[in-house]
Amino acid sequence: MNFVSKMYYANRRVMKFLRLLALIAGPGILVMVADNDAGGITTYTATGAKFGYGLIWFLVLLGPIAYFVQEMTVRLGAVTKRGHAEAIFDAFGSFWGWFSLFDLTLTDWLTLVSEFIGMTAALGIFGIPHWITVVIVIVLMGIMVIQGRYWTWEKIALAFCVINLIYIPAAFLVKPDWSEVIRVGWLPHFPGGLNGIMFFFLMANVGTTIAPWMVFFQQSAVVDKNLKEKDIPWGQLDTAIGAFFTVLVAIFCLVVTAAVLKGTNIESAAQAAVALMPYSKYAGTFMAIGLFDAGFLGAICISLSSSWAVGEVFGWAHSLNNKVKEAPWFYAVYFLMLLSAGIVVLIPGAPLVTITLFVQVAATTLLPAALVFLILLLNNEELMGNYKNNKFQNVVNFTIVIALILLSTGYSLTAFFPNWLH
Amino acid sequence: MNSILNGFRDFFQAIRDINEKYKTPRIKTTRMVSLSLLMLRIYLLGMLVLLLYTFISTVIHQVP
Repeated sequence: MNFVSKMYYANRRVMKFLRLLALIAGPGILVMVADNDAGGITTYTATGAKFGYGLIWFLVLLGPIAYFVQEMTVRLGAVTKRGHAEAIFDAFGSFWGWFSLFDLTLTDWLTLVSEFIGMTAALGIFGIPHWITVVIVIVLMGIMVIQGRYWTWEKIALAFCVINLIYIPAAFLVKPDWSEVIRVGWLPHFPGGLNGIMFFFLMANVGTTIAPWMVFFQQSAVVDKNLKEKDIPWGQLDTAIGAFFTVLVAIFCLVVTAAVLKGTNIESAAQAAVALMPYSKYAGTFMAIGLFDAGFLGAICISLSSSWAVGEVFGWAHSLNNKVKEAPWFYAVYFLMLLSAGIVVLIPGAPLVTITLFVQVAATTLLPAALVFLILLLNNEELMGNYKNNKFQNVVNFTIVIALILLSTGYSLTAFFPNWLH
Repeated sequence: MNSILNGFRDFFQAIRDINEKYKTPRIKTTRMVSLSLLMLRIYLLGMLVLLLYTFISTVIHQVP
């Protein structure tokens, strides 16, 4: 075979691989990129402003952690054809089922409020009134779901994932010293020592990496997309690509504030965007656009994770492939979550800070349960057959789950006792 | 009014049906499962105690 023929067949193989990937990719990339939601972006900007490039290595570690947890949902969804809520009801009975469903809905609603806070703050920088932002978001998210096709919804959502990459040009615009980024950022160390503040930031970054809604969302999305057991390797690749992008975005987001705002106390990503404007108008603008997009992606996935879960448990039609009149309750839950969260943000004097703090507490009560159920289900041979966790996966996943539970509980304790780390 | 009452009745009936359907956990109760669920209960109880403690201490601080 001559060189031209070899090139031709190699090219065909690559194109076939990419076409298949484009067909099957979606839930993993979506869930991972949406993981960098408004709260996540705030955490990264605050971390960059506090410790400079010093914790980039830590963000890199979070990628594999997110991958190993989310990969389990791919296998569980593809094998059982059930969402996580239904799987919990079925395997552990109605007590744990109701606990998970109630806590998920509450946590999702509170997180949705925090996404709306982020989105309204982001567009507020451009002078857009909060109520217009809320209306725009609800209309856009309504259009995305009511067309009645999972595939279309997913591809639109993936387009919003591409916008999330806006932090990469933003980082180049602030002209960081790249040699310093590599020298300081990739060397595992704790700038200023492992003190209370450092521990708080580590916990906050871990807390944004795995949220309960991610477990429920990806498993339901895998089921709605109708991924089969043979598609599991593709689902795993999709999740790995997503984990890569979530870390990439987190690093560039951190670099932006580390380069120009080091030493500043950042309390929200919107504050960071405003603070960036004097240094680079475009970087500040990109930060604000990125924050809106992050909140939007988070809102897309979070509201769906609740409506999927409620639909599964109540036995209602609950697929994005259903039209509104075929699955009225599924869409009713979706819009009820969105509308109520949007309206709360518009109420003057609403306790938004308390809500933001309570998100941590609610998530910490649900996360251990969701992760423990996930591991137990993945070890059930009767349910999973050949796809159950092997020894290596168990060692890695148990270690990750124990660490996640400890760190997220520690983070939640800061909501109960704000001074315990000082 | 009747339709609202019927709606509530249907909703509670649906919950009763779900409770009936998932009355018996299907997972095999191995030692790992029992231990994990016990730890989870203890953990959640601890979180509940913390929530109550924070709530009560906040209320006490606010009383003049």
